[in-house]
Amino acid sequence: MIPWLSPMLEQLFVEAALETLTMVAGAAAIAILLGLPLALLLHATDRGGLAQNGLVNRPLGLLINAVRSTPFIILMVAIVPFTRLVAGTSIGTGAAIVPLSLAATAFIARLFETAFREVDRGVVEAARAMGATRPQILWKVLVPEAMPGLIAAVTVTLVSLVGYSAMAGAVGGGGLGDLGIRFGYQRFMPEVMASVVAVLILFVQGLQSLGDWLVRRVRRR
Amino acid sequence: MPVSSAPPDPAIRLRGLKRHFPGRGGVTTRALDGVSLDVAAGEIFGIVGRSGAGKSTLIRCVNLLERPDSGAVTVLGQDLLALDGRALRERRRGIGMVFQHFNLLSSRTVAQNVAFPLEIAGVPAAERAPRVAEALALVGLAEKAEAYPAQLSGGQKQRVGIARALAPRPRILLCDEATSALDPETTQEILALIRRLRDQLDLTVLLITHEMAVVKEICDRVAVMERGQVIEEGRVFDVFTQPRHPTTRRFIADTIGHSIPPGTVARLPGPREGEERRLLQVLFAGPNSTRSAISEASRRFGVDLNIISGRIDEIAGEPFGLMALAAYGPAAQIEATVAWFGELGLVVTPVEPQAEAA
Repeated sequence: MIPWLSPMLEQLFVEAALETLTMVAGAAAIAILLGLPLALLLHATDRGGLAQNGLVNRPLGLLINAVRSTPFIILMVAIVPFTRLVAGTSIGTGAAIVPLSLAATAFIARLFETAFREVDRGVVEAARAMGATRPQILWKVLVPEAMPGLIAAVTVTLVSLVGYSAMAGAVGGGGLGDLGIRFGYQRFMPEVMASVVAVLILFVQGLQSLGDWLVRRVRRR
Repeated sequence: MPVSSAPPDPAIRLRGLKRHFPGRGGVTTRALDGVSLDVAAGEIFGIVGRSGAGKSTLIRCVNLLERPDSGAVTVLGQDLLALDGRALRERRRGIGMVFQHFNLLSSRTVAQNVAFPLEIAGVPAAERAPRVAEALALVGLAEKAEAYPAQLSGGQKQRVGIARALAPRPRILLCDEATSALDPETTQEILALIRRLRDQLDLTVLLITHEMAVVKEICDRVAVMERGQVIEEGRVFDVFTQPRHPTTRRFIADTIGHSIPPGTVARLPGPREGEERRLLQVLFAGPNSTRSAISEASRRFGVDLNIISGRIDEIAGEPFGLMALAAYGPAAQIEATVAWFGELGLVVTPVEPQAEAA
């Protein structure tokens, strides 16, 4: 498959790629599931929102900012007890998904919130005038109208997760980044490093193109 | 329409509405400063005013998108302020609203946009389709059902907005500057459509606008707002032909030209020895509006009447003429002419050229 790598390295490479995929996909799925309600909550409780409430909005905003401003490598070791509680262990690919999800949730919640803010207020007002309930406004107006922005946010998050997942080696999470450090850097095997970087570039390009294509498909403007 | 002989309850009754907004530096904006209005069932009622006059806040009070600080909002006999959230949402479904910027959902097709209020109200999918088709047919957009809003012109978007407002079969239609984003020709089309729908569906229409031309085109009655208050209210014909408030006069000046062109008066010859010259504005309206009153007066009273400006027009389907005359003759004869015009039902007001020019 990759001619300049030995069969054994090739085997390691495939495993590492699958680990990266697992971490990125798992963390992204959890981040979307948790980030969407968080972003809706942030948006609704914001000033002038559907359920304006500073007592919810400000602490939530602070918490999200705190998670976002903690360097990922530190966040990962800082929440080890929490990781152990959730995943049963603090090492391995599965365990790495916990801090990755946390970082990605905070990240995507902000991006989603921005996407909701882009939705024309007039459309929300029209829905209110029609007698829509708040859940109806959230799910039938805000989410569909913000869809291009939401998809773009997922794309950016996926790309960031690819980067974060390279640090997961620190907790035994494996993945391509870890392979690159251990073999490419520590064992002076530049061909491994180059292969890792090349595959990651292709992977990110693919994600971005897919995301852009989806955004174009759902954008009706 | 009720069959009783008593005057029917107004479709919309607003009483003593006040709404203040706290502004920067402790300055409060009095968007509504005690507004009371009655809109009769089946009429097209216009509220006109400059931006910031409070008309936008007022129309939003009718479906409680904006809650007044005090006052009463009664729509179709129901006191809206007494309702809880659920009951208010039910009531809102009976009040259609059309917006300046259309406010269509860009992610939905035309048909899906029109179906939206039905979906919200829990109308089963099978019943939605025929009602969407019916609403689109009403506004003449049946062939655009599968288009997205981005593919439509401004006028078409507003037609979709109107179809969407009408899909739940409301009794009342609120129009918030519905034509202000449209070009003059499209504005005429949309206004004609609103009028036709009113006639066809027996709707009550409340619209706000900053354009007197819109009021002149379709309204039955009008209220003029300034600084959160209604400063003048009445039948459109009366308000246009006999405005009382200076602001109203300025508003309609562009539309029907109440002022005498400056310089005209300066070029007029003065009165002859022992006679007088008086400037009069005569409004021809009512049963004698088509009588040749000027030449008749000239013969009867021996005065010379020089027409210095004039306009003949139609407002809300009623013809009227507005003439500025320079009357020359003995003072007594001019008085007699004015009195005779009065007997014919023509409205004569003396003109102060300096004030008009200022």
